[in-house]
Amino acid sequence: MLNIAVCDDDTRFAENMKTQIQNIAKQNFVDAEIDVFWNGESLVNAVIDGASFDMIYLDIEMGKEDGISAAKRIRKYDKTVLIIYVTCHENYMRDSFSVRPFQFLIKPVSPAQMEECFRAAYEDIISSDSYFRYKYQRINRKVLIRDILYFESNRRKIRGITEKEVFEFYGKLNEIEERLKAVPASFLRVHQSFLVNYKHVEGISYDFVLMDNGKKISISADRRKLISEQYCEMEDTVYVGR
Amino acid sequence: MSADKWAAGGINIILGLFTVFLFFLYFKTFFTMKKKSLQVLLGVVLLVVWQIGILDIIGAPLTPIYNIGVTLVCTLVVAVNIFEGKFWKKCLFSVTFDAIWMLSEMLINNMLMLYSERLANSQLFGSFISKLLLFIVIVALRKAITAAPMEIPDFHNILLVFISAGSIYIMGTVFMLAYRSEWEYAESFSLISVAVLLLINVLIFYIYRKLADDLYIRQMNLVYEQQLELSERHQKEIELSMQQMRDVRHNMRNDFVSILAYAEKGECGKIIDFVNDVMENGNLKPSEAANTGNTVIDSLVRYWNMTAEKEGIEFRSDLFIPAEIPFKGADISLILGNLLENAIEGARNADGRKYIRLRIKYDKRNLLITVENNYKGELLKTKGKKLRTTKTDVANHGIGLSSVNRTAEKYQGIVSVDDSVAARFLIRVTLYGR
Repeated sequence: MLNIAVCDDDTRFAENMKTQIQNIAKQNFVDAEIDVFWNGESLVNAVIDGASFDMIYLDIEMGKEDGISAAKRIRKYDKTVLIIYVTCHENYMRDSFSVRPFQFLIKPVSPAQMEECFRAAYEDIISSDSYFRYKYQRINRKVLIRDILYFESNRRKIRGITEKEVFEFYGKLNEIEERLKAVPASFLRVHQSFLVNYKHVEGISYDFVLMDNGKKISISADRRKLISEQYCEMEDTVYVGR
Repeated sequence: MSADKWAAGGINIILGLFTVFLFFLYFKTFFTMKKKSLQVLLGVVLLVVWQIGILDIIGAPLTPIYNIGVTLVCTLVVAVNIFEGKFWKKCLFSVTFDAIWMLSEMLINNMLMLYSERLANSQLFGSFISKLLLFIVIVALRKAITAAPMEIPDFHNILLVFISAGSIYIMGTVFMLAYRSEWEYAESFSLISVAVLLLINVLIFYIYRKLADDLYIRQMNLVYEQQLELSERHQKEIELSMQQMRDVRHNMRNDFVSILAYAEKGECGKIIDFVNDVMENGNLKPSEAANTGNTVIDSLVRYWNMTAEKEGIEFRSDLFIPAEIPFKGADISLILGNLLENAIEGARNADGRKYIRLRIKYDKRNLLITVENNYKGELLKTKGKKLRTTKTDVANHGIGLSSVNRTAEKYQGIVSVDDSVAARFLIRVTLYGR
């Protein structure tokens, strides 16, 4: 079940988008609920009130609160929602890149583009929608992979850090890295004792990654080249052609 | 007696280890050690065994020529095992090392023969003093010569090997002649010639450095030339778009005149048709290939798009970049220009559907560039897994990628080539914005 928001001040366009997405979802056998918002403010208010969306189709140019400032405010509450800008702007403002948009769609959007984008977003969402299972004190436990920010190893003990909690168990980071390769969610081994969830990486430079909880983790010198390659490759696969 | 023997043996071992130290001091100035620990270990063991062992065998009859041969071969084998780099460069540097070593031994030996016959007969003292001299020469070299910016071609390395190998030969001859000669000044003259030979060998390093510098400058010149060409092209692009703007403005006047005429007659339907017509045909539609607002990237992509389509190559670009990015236009144009030029070069000869895909994304203040194209044939690689040019004129080609590499390094970036799929060339460039 996907929760999708469409936000555009052009009401006709917004309704049109809604039916388009509904049709695409039906064709792909995805159960989707779509809410339409006519300005940025009401969308942000809905998020503040606890609405949890998986994807937001967001117009940049809107009368009451533009898409970029709305996206910035949404990011404060929801770090993982996929934001897809739908705009007739030929050049994207520099600011719009700071909220980690998933995709830009340029109006008018062709049905093929719409579908391609939807599929990519859907795959991205289900890939991180599985659980990481571990055993601690003889009890089997599980945690949603998309909630995990990073793993940190200290001798035999491993700490998993999520947005809300820290969990511990015994194991080896190498094994976890291997295990997580089977899951489509992407984890980066930036350091001998750090395995980070790329979804939660807010900033990356050649020698460190900045997680969205503010934690800065350095990339060890011998891994920099590999991480750079993986980074470029990963952003490449998220692409949807125009 | 026995204690003396032990002491002599101990000093021998210390001298041997000192030579090992000198060996590393010298080679580390010009080479980097290999990462494979096994090979390095093998090299070091061989070096130590040879250094300590050879001194033990000294008592055994070892003809000078045989000794020189063993020294040359051992140094080369050890250097090849321990250090990274081209074979001929290692060859040059090991032969030169041996030449300097032997010449300093000769020099010291000659001096001692001249001034103190007694000391000259002491193997240990002579060996110690000559190693000290070698040490001084190496330290001076380290101070004077920094690592060269480029590797010089094998051909030059081989030429230089002749100088040091030749001086070893001349040294041997001079030594033999002076030894056999009855002439009283023979030893002084031999001393001077040995000193001259030593100087010549030290000069090799200077020549090596100059050759490398020269090569580097020539390559940089090519890079600059290319950059000039790119900016010239960029200039033309801008002129072209100015021209188009002028045309649009000119047409606009005419169009308004027509609209006005229709309006005066009150023919609304005709106005609508006319405006639709203009919007369809006129230059009002933004270019399909690139319209990010970033002038450098847009004009480059448009240019290469046009060039590719002229060659019958399908060109597809996905650009996700803001109008302004924190990277220098010149650097971006160098990288994109080189990559796209290479891509067209490659796709031109491909079988079947020829294509190029360009993707540029600005993400987290970093710039990610991916260029994909198909090609025909094989990629050429050097031993260091670097790609080599497939063009026959090697001296003037194949610098494209290395200048891309150099530019990427400015931004701590990397360039990686993915050739895992046959007939598909994929290159990724990651540039970091901070």
